[in-house]
Amino acid sequence: MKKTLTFILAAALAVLLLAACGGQAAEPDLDELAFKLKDSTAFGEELYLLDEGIARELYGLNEETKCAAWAGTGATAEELAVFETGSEEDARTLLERLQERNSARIADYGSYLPDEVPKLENSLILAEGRFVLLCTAQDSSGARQLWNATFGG
Amino acid sequence: MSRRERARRRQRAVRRAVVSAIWGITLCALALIIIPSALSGSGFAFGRPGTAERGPSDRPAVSLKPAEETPAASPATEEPARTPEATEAPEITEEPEAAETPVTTEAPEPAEEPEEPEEFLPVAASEAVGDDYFKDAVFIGDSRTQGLRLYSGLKDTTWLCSVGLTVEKAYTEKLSVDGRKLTAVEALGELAPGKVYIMLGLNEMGWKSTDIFIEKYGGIIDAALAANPEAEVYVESILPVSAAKDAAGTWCSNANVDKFNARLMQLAEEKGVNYLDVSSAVEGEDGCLPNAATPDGVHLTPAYCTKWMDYLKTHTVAEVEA
Repeated sequence: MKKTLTFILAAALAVLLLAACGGQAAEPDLDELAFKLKDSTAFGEELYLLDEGIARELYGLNEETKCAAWAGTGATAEELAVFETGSEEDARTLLERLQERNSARIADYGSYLPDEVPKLENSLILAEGRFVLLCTAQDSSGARQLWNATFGG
Repeated sequence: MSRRERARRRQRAVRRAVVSAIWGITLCALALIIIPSALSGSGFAFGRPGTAERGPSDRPAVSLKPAEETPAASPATEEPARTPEATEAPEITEEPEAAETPVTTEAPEPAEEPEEPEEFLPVAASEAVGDDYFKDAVFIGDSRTQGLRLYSGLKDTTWLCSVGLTVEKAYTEKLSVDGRKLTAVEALGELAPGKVYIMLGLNEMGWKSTDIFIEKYGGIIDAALAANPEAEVYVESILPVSAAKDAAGTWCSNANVDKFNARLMQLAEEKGVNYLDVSSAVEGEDGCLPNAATPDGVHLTPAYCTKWMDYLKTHTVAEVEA
C-alpha cells in the first residue's frame, strides 16, 4: 500500500513538473543572437559595432535594456540592433519608438540620400518576448529567417 | 755830323726812352695786378665779388702747390678714411648705401611698423580636456557629426545633428532633445549650452551663394550667444573630401571646401568666436581626405572620427586645471 501511494505521488509530481516547464522556450543569448543575425544579413557597406553606452543614448534605452548594435558611417542608412528589455511591456514600448524613429529617418534620407529610402521602408522592426530586432539592410531576408527560427515563429 | 743829324738822334733816343718807359710801367702794372690776384685764388675774375665767393676755401692749396699739399698724392692719408668703410661693409649687409654712415643702426624695417591688430588664427593646441569638458556642450552638425556621435566614444553630451542638416534646416527641422522635439536653434535657446560646436556646410556647398549660407550660419552663432553670452562657440572647418571625390568635378570639391572655410573663418572673427581647423586633423599631405579615412569620399570611418575628437579635446580655449 505504501509503495503504491509513493509511486502514485512521484508520478503526479513528475507530471506536474513537466507541465510547468513545457510552456517556456529558452531565451537566446543576446550577443550570440546579434552576431548570428549580422552574419546572416546582406549589408551594402561595412558596419561598425557601437559602444553599448553610445547605443543606449542613440536609441533612448532605459538602464534595464541591453543592446548589441552596428551602424555605418553616415554614408548609408543601414544598421542592425538587437535589444533585450526588462519586460515584454518594455519591448512593446521600444518597438513603437523604433517605428517612429524609422519614419523620421525615411523623411531625413528622402532629401539627403534618396537611394537609401527603400532600405528604410523595408526595415525589420520585430519584437518577441523581451527581445526586439531593428534591421535596415540591403537584404534582410536572412535576418528574418533566423529570427523566426530562434523564436519559433 | 751835322746839327740836324744830332737833333734827329736825340729825338730818336728820347722816343725810345719814352716807349721803353711806357712798356716798363705797363708791365710792372700788370705784374702788380696779376700776381696778387693769382695768389688770392680769384684768377682772372677780379672785379666780380660774386664769383669769388663761390670758390671753396680749400682750393688754393691744391692749385698752386701741386706736389706737397695734395691729399690725393699721399695714400697714407686716405687709408684711415677708408678703414671705417671697409669695416662697416661686412657688418652691414646693405653695402652701398650704408657705407658712409658711421652709425650702424638700421632703423627703417623693424621700428617703423605700425601697430596692426593681431591676426585672427584658428584655436591653437592646448592641454587636452577630458570628456567632462563636453557635458555642457552641444554639437550641431550633419551626417559627419552623426558619425562623430557614433564613433568618438563621447557620451553625456548633447547632439543636435541629422544626416541632411543645413544652416537652413537648423531653424526648421525638429530633433529629439531630452524627449522633446526642437529645432537646433530652439534647442540652443532652451539649453543655453556652455560650449557650442558647429560643423555645417557640406550639404550647402552646392548652393549658388555663400552669402546666404554665412548669413544663416551667423544667425545660429547669434542664437547661441543670445542664450548664453559666455558660451564658447567653436566654428569647425568643413572637412575635406577624398581625392576621388574631388576629381569627380561636382560641387562637392575641396576647392569649394576651401572657399567656404575662408568665409567661415572670417565669420568667426566678425562674431568674436573661435575657429577650429579640424581639417588639419584628418587631411592627408595632398589636402584631401585619405582613402583609408572614408568609404565614400565624404564620411569618416570610426578611426578618423576618433582623430577628430582628439583634435577637439586638444584645441580648446578653456583653462585646464593641472
